[in-house]
Amino acid sequence: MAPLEISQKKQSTQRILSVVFVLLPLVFIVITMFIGRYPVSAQMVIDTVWSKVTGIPVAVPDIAQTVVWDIRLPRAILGALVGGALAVSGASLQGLFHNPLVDSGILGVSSGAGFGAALGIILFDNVVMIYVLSFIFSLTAVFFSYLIGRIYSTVPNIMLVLGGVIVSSIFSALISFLKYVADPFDQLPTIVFWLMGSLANADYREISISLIPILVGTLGLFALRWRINVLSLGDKEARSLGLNTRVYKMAVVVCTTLATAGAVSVSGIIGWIGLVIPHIGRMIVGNDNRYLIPASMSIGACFLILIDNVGRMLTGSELPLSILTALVGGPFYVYLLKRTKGGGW
Amino acid sequence: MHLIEIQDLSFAYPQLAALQDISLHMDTGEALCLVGPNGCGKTTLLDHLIGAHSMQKGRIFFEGKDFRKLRTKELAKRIGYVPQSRRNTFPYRVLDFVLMGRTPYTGVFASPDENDRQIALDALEEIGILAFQDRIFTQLSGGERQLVILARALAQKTPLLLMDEPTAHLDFAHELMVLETIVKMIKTQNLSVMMATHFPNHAFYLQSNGVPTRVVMMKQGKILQIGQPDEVLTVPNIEKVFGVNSRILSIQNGQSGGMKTIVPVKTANQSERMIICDKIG
Amino acid sequence: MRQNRLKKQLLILLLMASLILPACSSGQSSDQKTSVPTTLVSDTHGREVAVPNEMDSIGTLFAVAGHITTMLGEGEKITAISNGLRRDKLLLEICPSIGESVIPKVSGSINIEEVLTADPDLLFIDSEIATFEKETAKFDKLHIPYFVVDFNSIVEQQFLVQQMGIALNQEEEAQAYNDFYTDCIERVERIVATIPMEKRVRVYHSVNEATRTDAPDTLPADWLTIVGAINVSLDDPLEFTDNKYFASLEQIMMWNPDVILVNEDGVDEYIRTKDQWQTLNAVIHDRVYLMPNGISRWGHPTSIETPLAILWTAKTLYPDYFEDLNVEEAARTFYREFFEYEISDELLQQVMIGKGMRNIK
Repeated sequence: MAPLEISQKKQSTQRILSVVFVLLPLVFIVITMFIGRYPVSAQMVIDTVWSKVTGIPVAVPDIAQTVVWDIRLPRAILGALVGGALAVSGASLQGLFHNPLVDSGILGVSSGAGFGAALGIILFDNVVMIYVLSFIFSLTAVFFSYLIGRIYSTVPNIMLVLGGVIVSSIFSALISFLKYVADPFDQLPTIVFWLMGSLANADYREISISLIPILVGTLGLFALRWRINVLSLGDKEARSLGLNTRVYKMAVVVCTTLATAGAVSVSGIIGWIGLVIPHIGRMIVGNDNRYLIPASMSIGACFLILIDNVGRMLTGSELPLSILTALVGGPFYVYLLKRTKGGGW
Repeated sequence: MHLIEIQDLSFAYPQLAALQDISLHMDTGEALCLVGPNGCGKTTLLDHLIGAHSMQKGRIFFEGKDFRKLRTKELAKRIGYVPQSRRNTFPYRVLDFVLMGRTPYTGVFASPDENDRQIALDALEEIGILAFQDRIFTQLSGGERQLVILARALAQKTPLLLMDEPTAHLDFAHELMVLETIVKMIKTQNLSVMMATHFPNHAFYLQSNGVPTRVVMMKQGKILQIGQPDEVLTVPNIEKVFGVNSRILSIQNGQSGGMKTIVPVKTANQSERMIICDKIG
Repeated sequence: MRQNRLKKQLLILLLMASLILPACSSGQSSDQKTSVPTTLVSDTHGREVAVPNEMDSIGTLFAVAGHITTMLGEGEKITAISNGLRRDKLLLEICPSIGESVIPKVSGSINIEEVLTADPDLLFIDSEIATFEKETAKFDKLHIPYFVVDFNSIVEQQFLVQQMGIALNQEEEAQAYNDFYTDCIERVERIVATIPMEKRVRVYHSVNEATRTDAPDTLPADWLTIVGAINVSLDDPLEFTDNKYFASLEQIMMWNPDVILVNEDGVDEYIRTKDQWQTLNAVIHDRVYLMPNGISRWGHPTSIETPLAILWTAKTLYPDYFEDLNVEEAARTFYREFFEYEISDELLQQVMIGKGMRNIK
């Protein structure tokens, strides 16, 4: 009976972990409201939140209220959404392609979104169209990756990843081309800003734009998390276990694309999160996607909030996020490779 | 009505005819051994039965039902699959791995529940590896992994199990352990097994352990002969299919009586080795 | 067990809901900032900016705006700057308090909270920031008036100074600068008109990097024309990346300029010594000149010392025609009149040589 007891103990640990994973991003969001370069006392933060929630006016300077409620809070919320979406997409794709070196950037989502945004900036001077086009082209990029993946159907996973690499670099080239033809004084700076990857401009409109695709995508992946376990066994076995692999693979890819495109369309391209966070999750909850998917969601959310806070606190000017994620993510990934000896997955 | 009936099944890859006019049937409680050299079409045949290939020509019936009318999920409730020893996967816990056998019984967006967990635990116990449940699948030995996969197939609760070289890459002891487990599963769970194997002796082993066994001998995508192990696994057939000169020995084995075994002696067209072999003989 | 899962899923839904909730209740921030008397001033993008009449804190997130603000006598009010401003040695010598300003922007986004710590009454920004709606939305949200600084010709530069003069309530000072500017131009133009075309010098102007140069419709194109230089890079297509224009080495070979003007310390050395450049007339005849560097690099596309650059270049290109022009004295007067700063002989020499006038990053 000893093994059963171990299992039960494991279950209660997992229950505690689930609670922690749900609460942690909330804690990070709350903490974010208290920190920043502009001095706002803790009492003022609490008063502001109280006032905003209850509608009762408080004696807090307007500017402090704006800092807490319109700058820090949306930034933290968007960070949580984007970080969670990128991490969960990475975890799902790693499972799907049974390849721990994969993230949603690999299918061309990011560069597709970047191209769409640049095109939107050049063709329409309209923010909504920028989001719409970046979204459409991230889906287009995945679709092309998928088509390339089917050229040679005996090794679809390798081909899909290869297809993604090809599509990514083509879209990167197209972005460069658009930058080349863009109006240097009006459009080009906007494109450059957009591609940089930043939460510095988070506001509630961005949150509402990205919320639906991110929510649909992540909840879809959350619902499919058990199936991703089975899909990770490979096509043949997954099929013998009763999964229509083509349909489910498609579902996972569509969900990750929705989530990533939603994230990238508001925050620009932020690297490394989709690659590294799932591995931190693996170290904590193991490889079972039933636990890994929600864990990645939570850790990704916390990680991006944390990184963004560091980015805006470290110096007076905004340190671009991708610099920090790469500086933290790169060495950590090396550590992971060392720990797992490159093949322990 | 047969458990499985295959009629005139043919399949060709772009460059290669893999199966030609395969017709066979098998019944409940039976073990069917597909015997033949590499590339004779065994795996392609099994792949058809798990729905991994779209059928080109011919028909397959499961308990009289046309295969093409069975959806993937329904098929997986009827036919389980034991692959060759697995390539590396994510390091899942053994119990989680066995739980994957419950996939055909879970809803589209659901995960296995307590009932599924109990079935998985029962399967582990049946195989005799309950103690493995919290270990990491990828850290087990090849033979242990194969037993876990058998447990998963058991948890899938299908009347028919397909096995593709279930003992490939295993050592002496583990090969026997896996075969013993298969025999036990057939007897206690009323299973039928279709097994592709390189080793004709597996058919004799199953037969001598009281499993009704038939052998399908295949060569280059065609069926050469179907029948009892004694009828099919003959010295001329072995030479024809494998190109090997062999002898068939009978071993007296305590209570369970006799067991036959094929001893390969020499490959058929390499005469220079004959001298050495004869001396040993 | 099923119940537990349900609970867990409920919890996650709650988390999601709590994320959505704040989004619905935004937009109630009231507009009650105590209204101060303001004057409407149009900036270089034609926007009407409500500039407070009384200001004690000014943010200049574009270096040239900091230079002009200091020139107009308001340098001590500068509290937030862009990174470049802290590198201008002479400026910090003239107005040391600028060195204590916060730096909310290096490249990329502006850290709005850092701007707020400086609490500026008016913010000067460059056109790049201005075109990015998201950045300006932050200023709007916090009711910080912002003034866009953008110019690509002498006329536009003079207009900028004039408008900044109105904004900072220093119109006379601004007018004096613009008059000086115009005087310099007229003085040079008058003599250049007498120089026959065949004596005009073919000039290549290197901006910061050896191969970065001028395109038509930029400030350098403008003042190089005034000094009677034939700017070789104006008629050829240039490579445009990151808002900068680059020539290829082969283009420069083809142009084969008589004179190379360099605005960055070190680039002159590079051109004089690098193998590929040795066949150029300018290098062979030792006519590679490093331009002076004072508050800004003279002749830079955003330089406040463009009038001085005009004088210096005229004298450098056509020494025979400008024998009685004393650029050094003009510079001394410039700093005295417009910056109320008496420059030492030693420092003036250093400015004229152009070396060591920028702090290391």
